[in-house]
Amino acid sequence: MKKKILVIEDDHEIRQTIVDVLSDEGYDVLSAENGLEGLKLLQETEIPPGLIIVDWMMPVMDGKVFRKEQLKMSKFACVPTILFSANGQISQSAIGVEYDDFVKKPIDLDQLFALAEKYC
Amino acid sequence: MAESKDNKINHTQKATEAAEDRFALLVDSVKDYGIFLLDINGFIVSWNKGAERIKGYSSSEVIGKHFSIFYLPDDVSRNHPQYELKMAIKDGRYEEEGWRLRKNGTKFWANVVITALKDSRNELIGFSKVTRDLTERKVAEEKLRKSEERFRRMFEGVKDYAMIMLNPDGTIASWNEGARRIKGYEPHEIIGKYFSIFYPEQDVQMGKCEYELREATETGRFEDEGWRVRKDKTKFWASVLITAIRDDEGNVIGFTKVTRDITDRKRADDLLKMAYANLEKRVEERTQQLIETNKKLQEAVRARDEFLSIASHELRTPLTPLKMQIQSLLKMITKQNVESISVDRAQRMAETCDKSISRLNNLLENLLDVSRINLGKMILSYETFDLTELARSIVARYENEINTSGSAVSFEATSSVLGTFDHLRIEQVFTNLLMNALKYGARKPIKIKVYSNDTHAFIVFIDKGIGIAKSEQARIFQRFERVESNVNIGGLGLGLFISQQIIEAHGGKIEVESELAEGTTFTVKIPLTRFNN
Repeated sequence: MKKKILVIEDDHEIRQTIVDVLSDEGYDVLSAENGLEGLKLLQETEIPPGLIIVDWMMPVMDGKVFRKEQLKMSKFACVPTILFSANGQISQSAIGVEYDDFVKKPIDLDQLFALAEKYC
Repeated sequence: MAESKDNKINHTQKATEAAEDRFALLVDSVKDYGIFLLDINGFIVSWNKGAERIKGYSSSEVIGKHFSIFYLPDDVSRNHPQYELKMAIKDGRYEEEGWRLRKNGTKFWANVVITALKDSRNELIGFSKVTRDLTERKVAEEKLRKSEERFRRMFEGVKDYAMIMLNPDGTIASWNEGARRIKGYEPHEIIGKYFSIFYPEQDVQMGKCEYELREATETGRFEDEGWRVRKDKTKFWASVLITAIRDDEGNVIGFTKVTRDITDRKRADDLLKMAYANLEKRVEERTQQLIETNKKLQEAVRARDEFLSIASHELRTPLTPLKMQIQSLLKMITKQNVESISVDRAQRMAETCDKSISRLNNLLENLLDVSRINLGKMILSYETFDLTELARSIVARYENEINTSGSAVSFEATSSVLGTFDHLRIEQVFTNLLMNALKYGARKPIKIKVYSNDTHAFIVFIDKGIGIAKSEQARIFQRFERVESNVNIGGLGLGLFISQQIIEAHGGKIEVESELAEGTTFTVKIPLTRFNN
């Protein structure tokens, strides 16, 4: 059985597309519009997702705050999390929060699938 | 007896003759005085060594000559020698000093005493004449006199400097031409007056005059520049030098006061100072302007850099789903399982691509609009239409977006607002404001009003969203500006700038009222008729 992936992205088209393409690959995809919704979804979930893909810039709660909050939740702290951003300037050292991987928009589909494969 | 009487007489006579001889010898040997006798007509009858030394004639040359040979031709022609003899006869004695001639024709300054000689019957028997050569003294005196005269003339004649002498008590002792010219007083009006007459009242009261004399007395001199007063009460700017004059014992016997009128120089200096101050002020202002311009330029560069970063981010956002959807489709084609795509999935794929392309197109249109505005090439195509209808159709068109935003949109409008505007541009403004309200409305209700008065149409957007801080409100209409907030909301930051430019091109204006966390109201006011710029 394919694992669960949580996608947190404020842009409707991007979010829907990721859900579609990952679903096509057989993943069970959950989606949220911002970090806060993402945290709520996690709290409601019994089985932790195998991977979280989170956008950097979002209203209400951005990817950075989400990641900090997630790391505080013992049940989800070890879920691999990938930062997904259109800002090419963002690097691991600059953002001050640890992510398992970093993907730049627009993402190549093969790269996305490879990452899903790797972490799930 | 008679013989003895004769002898006695003889003896006395001899003694007298001997005394006369001795006296003649004495007179003859005196060298510093010319001593000689004249007969009653002025002819020389005796001559001594002194006369020879002074006048250069030997006794053999001169005896028997008339004494007028010692006189200058002018004196002779006015019978001065005769006058002298006449005066000697009248008063017994005549004394004078005057120029006389030597044998060699040179002049000497002589002190002359002529005494009338009378016998026992008081009859004139001749004259004695004693002459002293006082040329050396005369020359020295003359030199001094000339020097003093020269000095006096120079002193009096100086026109550009007021040169005056003060008595020790400060009263005016002398006055020159320069003083008359500069200060306006004639000598008789001013000599004897106290010199404070030249000073402004305030200086006099402060004791400036006394202070100046005290300084000059103590240190030898006092120098100053300041306002002084002329006779006609006008003021002039003076350069003043007061010097104490002392006698051989060191007592102050007066002061010289040299004053120059340097009003013109002072004015020129003042003008120069003023010009310099103005120049400094202008340099300061210009520097400030440059600093401000530089600041603005730096700000513009910063805004541009930020914009480029935002623009690339914004362009990547619609590119992301477009690329993924196309790649997804390609993968399916490659795997030859296109048939497995559901209609729903295929539709979403096409819709997502279409929307993404529209978004890219909108972004590019906005960029082009900015470029057009910058180049002044935004041309409006006016047409007459109903603004209410346009507004209603846009709200209907964005139903999906409105639903997604979570904000309820209410629309209030008068039945028709007919006006002449650029249809596409007004549509762009309305859409921009609607998108802004949805973006920043925080899912709270949004009210849109469209109405008009006799001259203007109004479009009002009221949201209860995140609001804009007062300090940020001026910035939001600027190019590339988005209000920084703790919410990360995308956008180029061009919408309000372009909207404002469009409304201003129509001769209208767009205003914002907002409170942070309470919401924002944008009011657009446009003339109903075509605006001729």
